[in-house]
Amino acid sequence: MLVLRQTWALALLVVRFWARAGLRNRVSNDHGRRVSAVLLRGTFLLLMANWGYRIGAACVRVGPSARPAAVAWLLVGLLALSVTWGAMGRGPGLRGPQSALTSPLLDALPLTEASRVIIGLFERVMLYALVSSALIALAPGLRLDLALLAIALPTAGLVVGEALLRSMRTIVSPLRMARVAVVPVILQFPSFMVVGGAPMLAKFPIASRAVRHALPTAVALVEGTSVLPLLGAMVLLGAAGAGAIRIAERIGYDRVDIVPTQKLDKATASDLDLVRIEHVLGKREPGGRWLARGAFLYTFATSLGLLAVATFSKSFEREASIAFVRSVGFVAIFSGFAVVQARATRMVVRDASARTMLAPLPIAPRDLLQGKTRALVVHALLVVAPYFLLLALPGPAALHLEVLWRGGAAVTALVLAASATVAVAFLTQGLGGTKVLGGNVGIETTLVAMPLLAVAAAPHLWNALVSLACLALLTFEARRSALRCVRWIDDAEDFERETPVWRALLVYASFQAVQALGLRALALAPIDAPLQSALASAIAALALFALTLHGRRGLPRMRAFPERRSVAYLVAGVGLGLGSGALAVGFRQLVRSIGFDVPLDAAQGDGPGVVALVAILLTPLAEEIFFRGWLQNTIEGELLERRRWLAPLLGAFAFASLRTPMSFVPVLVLGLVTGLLYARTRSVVPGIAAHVVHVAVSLAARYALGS
Amino acid sequence: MPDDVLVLDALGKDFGATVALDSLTCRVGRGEIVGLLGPNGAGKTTTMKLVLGMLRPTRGSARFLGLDCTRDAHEVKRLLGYSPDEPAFYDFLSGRETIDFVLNVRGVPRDAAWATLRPVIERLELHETLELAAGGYSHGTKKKLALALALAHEPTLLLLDEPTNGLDPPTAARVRALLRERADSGVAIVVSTHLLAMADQLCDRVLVVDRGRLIAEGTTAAVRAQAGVAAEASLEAAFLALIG
Repeated sequence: MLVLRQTWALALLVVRFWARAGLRNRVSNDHGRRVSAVLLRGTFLLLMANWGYRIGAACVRVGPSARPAAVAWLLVGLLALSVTWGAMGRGPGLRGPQSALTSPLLDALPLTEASRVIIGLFERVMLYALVSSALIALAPGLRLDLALLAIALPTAGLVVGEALLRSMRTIVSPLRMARVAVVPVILQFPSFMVVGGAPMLAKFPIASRAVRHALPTAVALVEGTSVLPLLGAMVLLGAAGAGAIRIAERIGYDRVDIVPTQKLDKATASDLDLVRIEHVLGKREPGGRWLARGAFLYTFATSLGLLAVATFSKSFEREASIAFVRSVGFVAIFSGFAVVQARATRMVVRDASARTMLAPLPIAPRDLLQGKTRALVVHALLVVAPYFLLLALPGPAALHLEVLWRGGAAVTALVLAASATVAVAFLTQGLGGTKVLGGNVGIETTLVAMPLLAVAAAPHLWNALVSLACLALLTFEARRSALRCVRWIDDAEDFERETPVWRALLVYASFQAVQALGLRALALAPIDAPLQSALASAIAALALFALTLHGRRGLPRMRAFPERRSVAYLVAGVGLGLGSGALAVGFRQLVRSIGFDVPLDAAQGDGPGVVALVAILLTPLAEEIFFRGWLQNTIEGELLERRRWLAPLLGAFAFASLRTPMSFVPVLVLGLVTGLLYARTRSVVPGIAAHVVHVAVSLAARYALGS
Repeated sequence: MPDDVLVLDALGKDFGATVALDSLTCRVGRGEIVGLLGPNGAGKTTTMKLVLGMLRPTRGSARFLGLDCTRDAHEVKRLLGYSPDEPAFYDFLSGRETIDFVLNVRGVPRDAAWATLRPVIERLELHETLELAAGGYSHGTKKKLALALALAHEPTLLLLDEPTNGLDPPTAARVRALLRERADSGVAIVVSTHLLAMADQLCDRVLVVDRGRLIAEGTTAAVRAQAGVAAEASLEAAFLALIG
């Protein structure tokens, strides 16, 4: 009977975990949001699998001499990542809403420590996806020992991570433990870097020597001989971890949330206002400062390491310096954002817990957001600061210019993201998502993270500026949403938590998730790349179509044809489509003549038949209905009468900013054309006609010009 | 009446299909202690939150010193004192710092406020725990700190949700005495409670609410009469007779 209840409780928790990632809204119980939970997790899962496969394949490609070292580093990185993930988020937390696994309520359930560990394994299913896909790429084909290794390696790492934390808890008080819990959060960054950088590490002789003991195993893995010794080692490691957990449980430790009982260090009364209190509390709360410091040390070490290699190593490829600068910039932005995310969540959870004190106070929502944003900006700037060490790199002025604009873009992006993240944390109550990278990940976070990471990956200054503008608009809307809805801190109420524009943007983020999900899923199917792309676009277009019809309920009905002069507007649409299509072709030729390589838009397709059909008909239909019929409509509704002319412009910018950098200008023009047609006629068909003709002209020209 | 501090006019609130407060009309004057009585879920806390502008009324209005409690919520919050049933504070601020934080947010001069607060803190025996982190406070200590915070800016109206819940009998008696003194100095006080003996000892007038409706109003003697129980019967007997 106990076993049955235990299994039932376990099953419930696993289901609850999978349902938790979605957007939360206590009031409107929207099915779209529920679906988004599964979508988001599925996307992350497949993204991890895809990343693992790419890294594995890259390790094989490095060449026979460096291959064993690359594989050895990959295994070390995967194990390190498993251990840090095992230890992450398992310490006692501060008071306030907790993960499903650390809730004191669970103590009342018939759950043993083993059950918690097992749920923890399910929770980290993304790690299994990463390890299995990496192993598949390293040694293609079905092998039982590899399949077992794909389970044993992450399990051993996770169990050891859980064991480390529990063993510490037997000797360290909960309050100190909450400080220690920051360590694995920080250590996951270098672990990620080791996994991603395994092919590169193999090129350095010193790095290869460091993993020389693992080389025979790596060779066995790639050459197809037995990996039983590694498998055995993992099983032993896992068993040792399980034993340590059992011993820790016997000794006993406090499983409760921490309650500070000690006297606090003095703070001057003038520091206790809405802005400065964040610094006072940040200093006192476990992990408040250490997370930022750890991320700072990490960017510092990465920047200094690159500087040292570039200055002293003779084998350093000068041409590669720009690629290195880009990756250090990426590290700085990524770590900065992880810190901002984690801190914002903590701040908002803290305010939610102290709601009965704050709600009756005369606090303007703007002041509440401002205090938190300021504290976060300080953290983010601290993390990104060491990147500027790269200005000391030896090299031409162009390199320093690149370092400078990338640094400037990183700082601007993080300041904007800090502001947006506080707003998002308020909108989602800092709860709605799954714990990834020390913070919460929900559709909202993905929406902010997309342009932020686009800034980090921007090939040119121009692209960075487009992504920054995109981020600035998102931040504006997130703040507007939060300022309007921050009353949640008062009480549960039947008011909307989002502005209509923000809600539309969230649906667009879901659309992006569907597209990514489709592409990743289809990449594993044995079909041609163009067909994969067409199918993914078709699935995404259908999803966007359905979500738009679902989401724009309550708005004025969309008209198919204009009320009068339908034929004239239809002809105008076709004509304008021809014009903008011709402009796109001309622009592409112009860019190409300057010497740029022009990448293709996935949605525009690069194969015949079904691809063209999807590109020409389905995608324009779904996009017009979303961008014009919903987004532009809601933007208009939020603008003052005299600013309504801005709506087609903003809609077109949103439409274009998500395309490949080189098609930004032609797509912006197309967006403006269809936006103006919609504003004039309030119907979508002329815009669809223009869009269809634009894509058809563009595709026809591509075939005709033989690209 | 110029002395009216709080005027509720057919105030009502629905949460979806649930009627939390049907229609409540009453006036609270200066120096008056009014008890809001009712069983769990009667709409007592909802009423307080409507007055504080935390909730928007579905029907009717609440006015405080001529201000609309929804539209002018910011100003109303500045002038009101509120002590919630379940107080919570920032865990990592001490009691003293919490008071300083609230004074700063309210924009009240600290020295003057502390001069008023110090005797209150001593009477509530809060001074011993004032330097400790609020996260470690017991429920009773939290209630005391919440009461001190509600009094800190010398409000003209005090809204107290179950003010003596979780307090030991001597402290509860001291709180009652403190509230009476405040009322005598002209402060209007609304006390929501289900502790009928406390209401009997403290309140000048009571409003009995059940399932969102006002079912009796007046002095405790008048409520006994309305309930048809003897004048010497307990308020509890009257209350039970009223809510059937």
